[in-house]
Amino acid sequence: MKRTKTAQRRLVGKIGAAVACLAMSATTAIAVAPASASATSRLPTIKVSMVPKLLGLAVFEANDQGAKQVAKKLGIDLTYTAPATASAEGQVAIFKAEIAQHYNVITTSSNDPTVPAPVLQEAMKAGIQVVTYDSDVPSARDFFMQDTAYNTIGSALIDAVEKFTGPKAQIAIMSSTADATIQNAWITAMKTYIAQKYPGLKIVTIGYGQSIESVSLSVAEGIIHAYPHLKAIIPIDSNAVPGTAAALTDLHMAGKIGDFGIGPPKESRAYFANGSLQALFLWDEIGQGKLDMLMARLAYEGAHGAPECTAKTPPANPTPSQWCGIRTNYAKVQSFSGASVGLPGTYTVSAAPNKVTGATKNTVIYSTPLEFTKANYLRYNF
Amino acid sequence: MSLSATSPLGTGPAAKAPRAQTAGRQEARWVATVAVLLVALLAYFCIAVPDFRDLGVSGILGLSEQFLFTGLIALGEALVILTGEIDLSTGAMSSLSGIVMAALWQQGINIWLAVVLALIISALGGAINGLFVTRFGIASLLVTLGTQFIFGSVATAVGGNAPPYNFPKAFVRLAGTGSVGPIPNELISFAVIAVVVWLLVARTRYGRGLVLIGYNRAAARYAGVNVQRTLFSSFVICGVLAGAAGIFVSGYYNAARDDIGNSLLLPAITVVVLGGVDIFGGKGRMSGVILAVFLLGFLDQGLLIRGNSSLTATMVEGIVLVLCLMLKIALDRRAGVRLKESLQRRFGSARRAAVLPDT
Repeated sequence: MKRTKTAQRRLVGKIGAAVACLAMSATTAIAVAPASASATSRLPTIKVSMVPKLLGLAVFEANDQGAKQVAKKLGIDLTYTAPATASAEGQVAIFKAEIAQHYNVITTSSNDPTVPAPVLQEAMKAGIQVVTYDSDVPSARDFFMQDTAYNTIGSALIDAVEKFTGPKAQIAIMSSTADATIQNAWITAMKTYIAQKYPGLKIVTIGYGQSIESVSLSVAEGIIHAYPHLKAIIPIDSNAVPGTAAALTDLHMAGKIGDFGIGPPKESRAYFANGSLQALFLWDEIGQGKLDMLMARLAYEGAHGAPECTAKTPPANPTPSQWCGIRTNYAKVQSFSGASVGLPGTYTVSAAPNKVTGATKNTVIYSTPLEFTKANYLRYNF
Repeated sequence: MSLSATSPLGTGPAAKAPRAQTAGRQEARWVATVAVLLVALLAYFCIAVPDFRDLGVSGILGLSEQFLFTGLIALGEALVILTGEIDLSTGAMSSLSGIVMAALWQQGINIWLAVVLALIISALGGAINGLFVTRFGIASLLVTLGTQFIFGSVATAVGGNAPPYNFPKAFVRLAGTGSVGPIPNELISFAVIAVVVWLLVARTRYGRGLVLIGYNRAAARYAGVNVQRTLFSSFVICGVLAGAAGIFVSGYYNAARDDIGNSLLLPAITVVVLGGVDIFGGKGRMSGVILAVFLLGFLDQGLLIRGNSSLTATMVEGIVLVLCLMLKIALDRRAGVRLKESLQRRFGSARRAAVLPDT
């Protein structure tokens, strides 16, 4: 009842936009960058929230920074909010309030894959689009932005390790816990890649630091003592990274055993500087915030398209000036360009789960991994 | 309340009557204050926050689904705090209860039977707390600090790597997100439980005993209250209510998690204190606690809907708590109860107990 009323209100409000749309689709053939910029400014403003796991974490703040840079251009009134501690219940309270505040799109990195599902389903029923990023709620969202494909980060890591150790070497992995889904997927990806390309590399052990820096440190020290021929160690959890580097520093093994991990560079600056950390892989968090906003806009346009904007076939890589064309055919859109938010390349919306990359249905993989080394780590503020 | 607590038992010292009367009046006045604050708060949100007003009656009532679990824990916690004790294990008990229910259900046991079994486990947990406090005389603060970790660890162990979710629809509707007309099922359940607990404290000999134990344990003993048994049972009831909160939490989120109750403990204690229950026991009314559940809950939800961040909301709640307690002390002062006296009552009870037989 309420839903149809809201939809009607939106529809009426959209007539102006629809007229603009028709004008736009007429010019798409010759659409160039300045034209699309003016087109986006005519888009109706939508209320979008970005709800990360908690406030104050550098990577999420970097997402926010990126989102803020493009929000205005995309006609987005952005709210960045989160619980003070990483609690799923705290996020649920925020979602509940956002439903009451008639947000158009909620984007979130969830603290739990199931707990927020009922309230996010309630939001979707109320006509709100839900886009998850970084950590998914598979049963209650329109789209999920996965950070990076499992196989690409796995191969990037192993390539870097092999360059340091040579083709025959003992290596070890430092993970978080034995049941951590993403870490295990990365480990599988690394093993697969090693089997294919560098059969001389041997993973001698996998240590678990329980996502605690001090535990990671002592587990890593144990591994270094136990395997005197170890050539490299791979910490793949954001607490294992500083823990492992600290262990190498303590035992005066900095630079003798290679240290290649997955995590943000800022909190490990000291270890880049002292040579106990060779490289970290992550993705550009600022760009991720930008893509999150673009996906929020696309999700909204896809669901709330004015019927006047009908195009038989959606363009392959629709830019914002072509959103009109995808409004009613959104389900068929398979890829879109990141150009409107300054991101290179196109993004593909997965139609079915993919075991190799880790994508589930309606997932967009954000990025190939970005490598942080001694040469560039100071450039990144997350 | 203290007046009604002493006289029906027939052994209250006559000299105490006037003071007890003032205490009763203070309590009534505080309940009225909380009620006025609640009405004022709702009025403010309805006038000043359009999104809050637009929710309508059913939407506003629906917000209560977010904080009634805290309320259930607060009801049990209030019983224990009235006796002058405290239970820090309630949050962990909620997690444990939800996880036990979910795990049993996953093993193929009927969900309702699983609920009953989880509540029995909760009662046992409360009994363990009560046993250590009454039989071994360990301070409840320490006992429940310890059992908190035990319950939490057991919950983690039972829950395993992937705690169950997606419970049967009927359960989720009844315990979680369903409603009768505009009234959420959770609110109906809470109302029923709250009325029962309120009657228990305000209208029964047992309840008067609870308050008297908190007021003066020795006097309670002389008044014929079975102190040990009453204390023990208050922990059991508190455990069951915390367990019930865990069931409702699991229903509402449609998922059980081993740490889901952790965030409920401190808000629950806040509610009890805001409701006018003396943290040292012996004073307070359940009606105040019940109103405080809604006062704190709507304050939180309203601020979020107003567009405040959850950090601001928490900060405002802290300020409100401190201001309310200052207001309460000011009101109590005017009514003639001095801080020194309440401290004496708390810490000087042994001496007074020694004197009492002669009076």
